[in-house]
Amino acid sequence: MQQISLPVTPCPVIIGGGPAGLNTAITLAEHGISSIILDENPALGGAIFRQPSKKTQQGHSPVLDEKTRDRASRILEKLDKHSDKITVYHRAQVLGQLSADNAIMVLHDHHVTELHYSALFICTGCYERSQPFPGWTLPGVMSVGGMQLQVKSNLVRPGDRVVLTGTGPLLLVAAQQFHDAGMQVVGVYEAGQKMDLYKEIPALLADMPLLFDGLKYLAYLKQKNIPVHYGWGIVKAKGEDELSEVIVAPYDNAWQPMAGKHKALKADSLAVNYGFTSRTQLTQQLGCTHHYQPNRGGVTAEIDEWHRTSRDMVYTAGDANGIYGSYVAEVEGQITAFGHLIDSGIINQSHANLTCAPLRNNLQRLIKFQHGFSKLSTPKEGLLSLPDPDTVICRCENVMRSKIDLAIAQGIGDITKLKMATRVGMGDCQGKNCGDFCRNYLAQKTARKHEEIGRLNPRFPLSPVTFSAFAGTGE
Amino acid sequence: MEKQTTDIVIAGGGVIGMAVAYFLSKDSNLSITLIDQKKPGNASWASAGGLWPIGESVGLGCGVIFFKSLSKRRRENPDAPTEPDHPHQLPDCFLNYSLISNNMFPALWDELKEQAQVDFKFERTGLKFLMYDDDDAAYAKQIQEGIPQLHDQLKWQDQQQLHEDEYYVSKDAIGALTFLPDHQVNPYLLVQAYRVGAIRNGVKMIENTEVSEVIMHHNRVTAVRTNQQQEFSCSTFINAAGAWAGQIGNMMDINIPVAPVKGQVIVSERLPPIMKSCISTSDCYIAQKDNGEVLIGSTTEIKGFDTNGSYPELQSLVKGAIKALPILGSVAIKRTWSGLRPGSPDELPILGPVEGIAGYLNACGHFRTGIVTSPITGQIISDLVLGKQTPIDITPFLYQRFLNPDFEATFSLESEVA
Repeated sequence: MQQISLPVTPCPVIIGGGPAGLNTAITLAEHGISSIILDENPALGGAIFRQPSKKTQQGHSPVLDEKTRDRASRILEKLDKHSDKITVYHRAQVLGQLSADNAIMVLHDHHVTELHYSALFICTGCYERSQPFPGWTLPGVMSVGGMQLQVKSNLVRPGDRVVLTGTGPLLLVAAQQFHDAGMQVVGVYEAGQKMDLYKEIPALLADMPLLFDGLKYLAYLKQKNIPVHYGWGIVKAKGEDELSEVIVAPYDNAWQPMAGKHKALKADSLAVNYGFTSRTQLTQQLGCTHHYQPNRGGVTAEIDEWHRTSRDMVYTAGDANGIYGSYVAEVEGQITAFGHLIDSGIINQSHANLTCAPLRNNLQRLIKFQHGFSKLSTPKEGLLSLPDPDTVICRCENVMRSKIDLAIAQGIGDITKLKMATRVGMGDCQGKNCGDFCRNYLAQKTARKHEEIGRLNPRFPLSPVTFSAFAGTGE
Repeated sequence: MEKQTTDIVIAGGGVIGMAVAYFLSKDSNLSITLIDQKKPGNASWASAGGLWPIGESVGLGCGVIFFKSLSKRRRENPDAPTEPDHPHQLPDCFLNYSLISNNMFPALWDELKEQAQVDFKFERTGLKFLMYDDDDAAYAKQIQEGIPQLHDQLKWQDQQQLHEDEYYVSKDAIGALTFLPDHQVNPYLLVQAYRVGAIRNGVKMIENTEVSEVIMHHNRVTAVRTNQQQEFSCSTFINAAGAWAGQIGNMMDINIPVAPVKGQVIVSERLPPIMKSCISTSDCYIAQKDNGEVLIGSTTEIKGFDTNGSYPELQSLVKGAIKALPILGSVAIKRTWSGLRPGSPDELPILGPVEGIAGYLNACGHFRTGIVTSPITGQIISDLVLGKQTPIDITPFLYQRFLNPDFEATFSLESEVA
């Protein structure tokens, strides 16, 4: 592993080597611009294209479907072609900005480096919303993505009998992957109603190939006798030291489990995904202007048509700026690169407009399709009622719902004061996980607007760094 | 404009405003309205929670970066003058004020656990000044000589005694001087405890709201307006606006010399207990809090209302912490932040009335010691409103002192401090 070597003059720096970041780097390289990609993982590709960390005999992960595998290899080939212009640092953690403008602090190989940039592209993707419910901290209960990661990257099998609950097409994809990995899939419990899906068929027709993909997954699950239940969801997970039973129930229109209709399922693993949150800690820490998009990943940076944020030379694209999935991220990565080509005077606006016209057409179609799904899959208020008083909400600081209720009863009505009084969001993750639930819960219980609830300001460092690495005396 | 009437308006919901609200609501049946706007850098939210009446009075603790110990100057410049430093000692009136306040904590802790059901985690720790060399020892000796009345509150330890007491402290430390009455609390929970106590006593909290105008009539404050189009007629207006107190003063055309003094702080991941006392060195202070996090502070910077972190300053705190507690080297830094102390030119608070303005009281300028002096400040302001005798003579803390031609500033708010 090499230490970060600082370029002679600052160049564009891209945070995140997923579909958005890779396309940004490639597009810049195609126009003669060198860039640096910082990626926190051992391998590029982001959550969608991640290659297995251990080589299998086939040389690729057996659970990446063929189409995704092709997309991944196409983009990595392009990257290879431009390797003289793209420097990649793996396992690099961006800690955030300190006093110097146009520089970020990066932890890499136990060293902290202040990296100056000429432009910054924040393509940090998203993470799964964490959804507290009784028993969600039991071993055996995981996020869908976490379980996929185990299956995809490490080639371990998390359990024998798995239940999937949550919402969105990821559940279907994951169910197939888990089945292919040799797990018995007890059932998929999709919170959205089937009727809502039918209503969105016109939107879903916007992208026939994607719709076809979805139907293919459904057909596959049917063929393997894996039941998909619409309008059902999680109630609680049970077990002594680890998961042994999952309780599900039909959800009403607000996604509140219906009383008296609980159903117990024997399982040793439970995969849960109730949507995604855009990863905006860095744009927030940089002080970019943000807004709140409840169905699109929560708090995201405000951008223009070229993905410029409110801060000069800082851009953001892909799921980091609203959840639209990997196809959209690939296109946005290219568009934001053109934005920078305009801003740095390499091509003019009309040239960029012409080149990007087909990209934007494609984008429009993809986004229309995604909107169809988002209507089905927008998390609803009933989910806030799942935790019991003794359910842990903030896992870092071990804060139970009853403590939050007490603070609300004592008159607390914004997230900062809630943090000070209960320590929610004061842990290592800085509220990345529980922040969304806490904000929505506060808003519901105090009948306040999101602007009044506020948000937790991410602090430097965005991920932990040792004292010795920061002091520069570290091994 | 929505008009309301109240007896008292308090500007500021930090530890001082909340303490005033709590004490005054406990002692009276007056109607009290507290107006608060959360701003980046609120000192109470950034505080380490040290109750260090002696430490702060002799220039240690939060004030340690104020001046450089001789050993530190020699490290930086071998030709530095060799005469020992004089500790930066605040006047006896301040020491007295903060010691009396400190003594109020045990009873206040019980009272607020009962009244507000909030435990602000009072911990008896003591504050140790670590000595690395003879220069540090000579400096500690001078501290002792400056406070002869408190000899029984100090404890000297040689290297061996120190290590029996504090296993993880560096073997490079040759001893320590402990200030026995200096303890710690959880500052956020202290604010919360006052707040809940005040609400239970009927105080009305107007949050996310800023005081925008102070209405005067014949040199008397008659009402306060907010940026939310509210007007509160009142008989007394109390300025507890922390680093923003000067802006409130401007609304009444008085120049209250309070300005933000930035301090950066670092906190570690949670650890099992690695220290019994709070520690001050000539580089930084270190305190392990009730939840296991180790908190390291703090810089003293004049940067206006800027609250950005900066690499060299944080790095110097980190180095100072590793020097004192080498075990921290392998520990993770969890967060950093900065707060804006409400600095005053003589480092003393500004309390009580201003000549020529009726219906107005200062409760500001608490600089590094708002947490420890919050109980006595709350009591003093309550007594002043109710016309009672205050527990101490507040003459040295009156605004009037700045108008004295002989007034001398010890702290220059305009220029950068070394």
